[in-house]
Amino acid sequence: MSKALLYDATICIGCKQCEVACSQQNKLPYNEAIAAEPKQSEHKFTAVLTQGDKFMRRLCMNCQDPACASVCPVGALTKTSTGPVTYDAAKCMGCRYCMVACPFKVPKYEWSKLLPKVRKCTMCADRLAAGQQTACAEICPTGATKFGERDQLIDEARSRIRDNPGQYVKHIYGLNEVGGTSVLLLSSVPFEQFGYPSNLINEPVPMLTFRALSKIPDIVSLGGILLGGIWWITNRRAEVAAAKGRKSLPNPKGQRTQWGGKQ
Amino acid sequence: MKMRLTFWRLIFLALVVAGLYATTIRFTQGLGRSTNLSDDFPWGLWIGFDVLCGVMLAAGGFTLTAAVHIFNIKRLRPIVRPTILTAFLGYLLVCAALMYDLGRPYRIWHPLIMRNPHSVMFEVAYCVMLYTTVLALEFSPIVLERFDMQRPLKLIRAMLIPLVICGVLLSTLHQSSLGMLYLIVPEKLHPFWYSPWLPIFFFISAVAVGLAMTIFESSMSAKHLGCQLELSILQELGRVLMVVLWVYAILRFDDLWRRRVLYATLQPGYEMYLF
Repeated sequence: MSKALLYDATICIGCKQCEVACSQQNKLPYNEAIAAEPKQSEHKFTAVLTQGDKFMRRLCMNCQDPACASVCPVGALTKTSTGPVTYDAAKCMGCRYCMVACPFKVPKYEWSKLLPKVRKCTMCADRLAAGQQTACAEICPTGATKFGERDQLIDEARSRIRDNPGQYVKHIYGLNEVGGTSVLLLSSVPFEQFGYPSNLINEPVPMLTFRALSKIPDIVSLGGILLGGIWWITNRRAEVAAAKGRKSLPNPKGQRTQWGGKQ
Repeated sequence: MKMRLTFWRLIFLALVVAGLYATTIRFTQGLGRSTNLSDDFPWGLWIGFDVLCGVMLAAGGFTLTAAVHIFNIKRLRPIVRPTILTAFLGYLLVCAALMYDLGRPYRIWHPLIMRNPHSVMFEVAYCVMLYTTVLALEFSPIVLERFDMQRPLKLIRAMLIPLVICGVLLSTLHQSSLGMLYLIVPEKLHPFWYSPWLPIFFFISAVAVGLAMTIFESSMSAKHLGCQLELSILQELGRVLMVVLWVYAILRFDDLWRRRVLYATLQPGYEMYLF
């Protein structure tokens, strides 16, 4: 079964404990200046955004069918069966197509390094493998970030919306976006206010390229046969023309070939 | 031979110096210092100009080899070799540019063994590698003839038709897959440019610009290297080019019409002016 995170912005108090735990888990620097940065970066995999008394977390959505893993030419990014989308730095050659393709603009790059890596939240894949929950969910003092089975969390999110009319936007962000994500969000204000795109399709985006890619075997085989065939015909035509031309050499009127073209 | 310092030579010299300086920064201090790239703009403008347009300029290579060797249009034969040379140089330049652009260029060979066939970039990588090889082989007779190496020459000539067919197929796939790269970001591209037909548009415009490049380069070499200008051939290419461009224009407007964004071409804004 696939694990997931449910973040409920209405319970969040903006204490940024999740940011602290995340930096410790991923061995990233953390200080007041970094805490004040309102965005994800190579040294900040999750960010708590503040607008007045409203909060919102940004982190890798760990999509069910991730664009990044589908576009990576060397398979450095992988969707694991338990939920996390992991990154193998030893494979990455740095084409940065994952950054272009990600609908949430999550993968970040170490621009200042000579041998850079892609950096992003990997939903604490090694903690999950050890049977633990993610660092951010473990530390959250109010339960705003909750770890569990994706199906159960969806049920819980639905009942929270149902039981508290007027408190939530009637939408679980991540339930259907780009085919569903392993991070689910609830909020009292529209998600695009905090930079979550609202124009996403509800089917996995890798399907968009796969539809085109799957035509390649046909193009190669049909194209090969077609080109080979055309070559055979034109070549044969030239041969016939040459033979005719030689035979009828004494007769200058016979220079037209049987196909009507000039030799 | 004495080189005179003309206006254009001065400009190109300045470009070379700037390039060398940028190269040093790139390989000693990294991409962040040498470029204006950021997490918001992970791909530079040069991806558009160099990798996409540059590869398209090399498209004359496959268009003309197909015309001459497959369709047997003998009239075009005199300009096949220059276009193969252009295409070969174009691909070598793209490979060189990739060495700058990749975060870890020494891993450029990784797609050879770490395969992800669902990735368009994987397809692009294979097309670049294989087509550069094909172009090198198509170009090799010129070198082999110069040094009078008969045996390898015979071998290449025997392989010629399969080689040309491979080249045409690889080029078709490569040009279209460069458009396919953007199919996965419908929410990031303006509706003018995002279309499910992107691969087909890329392919058609590649054929057009490949022909245009052939005409341009034939005229230039006639002017500066004293080759004979094959005017009748170029006129014929021009006629074909016009047909290709009309096909492109009609498909493009048909696509805008079907996706109901034709009206948007009249709404003022950056996109309208760029379009």
